[in-house]
Amino acid sequence: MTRPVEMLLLLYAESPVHAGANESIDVIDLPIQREASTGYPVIWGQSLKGALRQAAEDAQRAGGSAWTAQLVRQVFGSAVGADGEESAAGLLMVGDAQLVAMPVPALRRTFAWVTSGMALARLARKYRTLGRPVPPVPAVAPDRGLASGAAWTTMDEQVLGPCVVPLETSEDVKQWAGRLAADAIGPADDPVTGHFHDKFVQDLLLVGDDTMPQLVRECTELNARVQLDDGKTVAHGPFYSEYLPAETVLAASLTLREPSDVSRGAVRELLGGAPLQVGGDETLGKGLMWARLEEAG
Amino acid sequence: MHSAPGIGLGAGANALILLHRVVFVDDEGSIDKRGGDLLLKWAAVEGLGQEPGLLQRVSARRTAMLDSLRARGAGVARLRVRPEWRMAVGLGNRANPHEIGLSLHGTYGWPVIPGSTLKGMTAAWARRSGGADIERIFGSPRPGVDAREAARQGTVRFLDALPADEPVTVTVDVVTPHAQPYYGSANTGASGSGVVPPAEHHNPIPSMFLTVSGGLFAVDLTGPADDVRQAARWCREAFDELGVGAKTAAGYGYANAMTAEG
Repeated sequence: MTRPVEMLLLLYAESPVHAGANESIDVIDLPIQREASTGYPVIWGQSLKGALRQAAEDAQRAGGSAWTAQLVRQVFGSAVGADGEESAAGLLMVGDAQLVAMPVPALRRTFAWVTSGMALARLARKYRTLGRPVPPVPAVAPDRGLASGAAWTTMDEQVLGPCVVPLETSEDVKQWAGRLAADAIGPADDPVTGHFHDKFVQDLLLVGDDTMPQLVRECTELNARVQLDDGKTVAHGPFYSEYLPAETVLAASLTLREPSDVSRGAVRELLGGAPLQVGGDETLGKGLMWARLEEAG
Repeated sequence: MHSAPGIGLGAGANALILLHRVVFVDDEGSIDKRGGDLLLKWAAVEGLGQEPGLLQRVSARRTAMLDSLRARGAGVARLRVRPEWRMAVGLGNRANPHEIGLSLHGTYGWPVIPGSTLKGMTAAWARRSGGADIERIFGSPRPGVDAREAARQGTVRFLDALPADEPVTVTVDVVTPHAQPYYGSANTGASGSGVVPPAEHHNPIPSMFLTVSGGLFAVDLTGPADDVRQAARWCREAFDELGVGAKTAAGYGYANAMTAEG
């Protein structure tokens, strides 16, 4: 039996993403999934696995790829309600997609990506599973922040969403920014991703534990929706749905058991720089993400 | 936020901060109207912070996403939508103390026509055709209609429409109610003696709001090719016949939608 293959799936949001939680404790009617302990936004493994399965089934239906009905069943397990066959677990284990960096509005350069010591430490652990060395995760005071680029230190403090944070540059954050820009956003020399690669290299901010919880709570997108009747007066609503903003970066660990060249190749083809539909409100254009895959070695 | 002289807030300042988080108060602690006027002025001069370089790249990445979906067999339609006059989408979204409402993109803070707005407008126009494909394209059950089949998702995706390639023009508009105390009390749901009757002695009170007055939006639809074609046709007609957003009875929201090549 061959050893399982460890992979790291990096997701980059092209449009806002609504991976919905089931209940609300707030004024938000349709909140997104969050970790109970930290309040960080997350996409649960079961939601992500469903999205990956859907992508594989779509690829199979469209034809011209390595995906066959049999391979989908092998990798993702038996389908819900599939009668007349023995149920089987899939070979792909899908972890939660955890927050790596979230865009927050700023008074210059439109927005910056914020991350935290905890988010980077978790990501470092995932990289280590692949056997890849990572830059150190720098420590920062709870009420301060570290920037990858010098544009953020021209003034004493910067406005980030609802917070005002003093920033200084950090070589470690710069290294992280370079790594993530290449792995999650895309190549620097690509005409489409190049600009965002460069922006990420300059605009990654690591903020302290006083600031991060407030930013992940308040800097999501909140949309009020109403249903109008024929006279264009409000029939129902408003109701509020919450979205993870476009430009958010998430990471999930994937493990493929009993890998074959076929299944490895198919997963690589499905998630290597391809679009992926994740979460709800699909018909409102939500949940389009770019997927990239990092493998061991 | 304290005012700091010398900080030029150019394009690249995010309207999600300036319009949603900033409040100006005077010495007595009440809201300073002049501050709100300053915010409106910034919004008009800087186009709500649309930074042309970033906007172009965001637009290019959106196009790449659509190309990528098309390569995987999805139907894709792009409309280029030019307001005939002014457009006021999201006026009721007054998420700030100065009561300035406009739909803004959740990351960049630029003017946007939300996917839900586009879908609602298109569905309202499609309803007049009464075809059986409405439930398939928009999902079911439809509001006010008994479902002919089980609840299901529509086939066509309506993406949020961003300014296409270059910034759209933002203009400060004004509406001047002549009996503001009457409208104010009637709109808060007061009844009986709570409602101030309209009268000649009330002063006209000008009230500013933001509109989009020029430029192009890219409206993108994806899904099965035939359904996307039909939805794009309805959407194009709806821009022309119904208008998008608020104040369509006063001529706002009508737009010229052209099918883009590719």
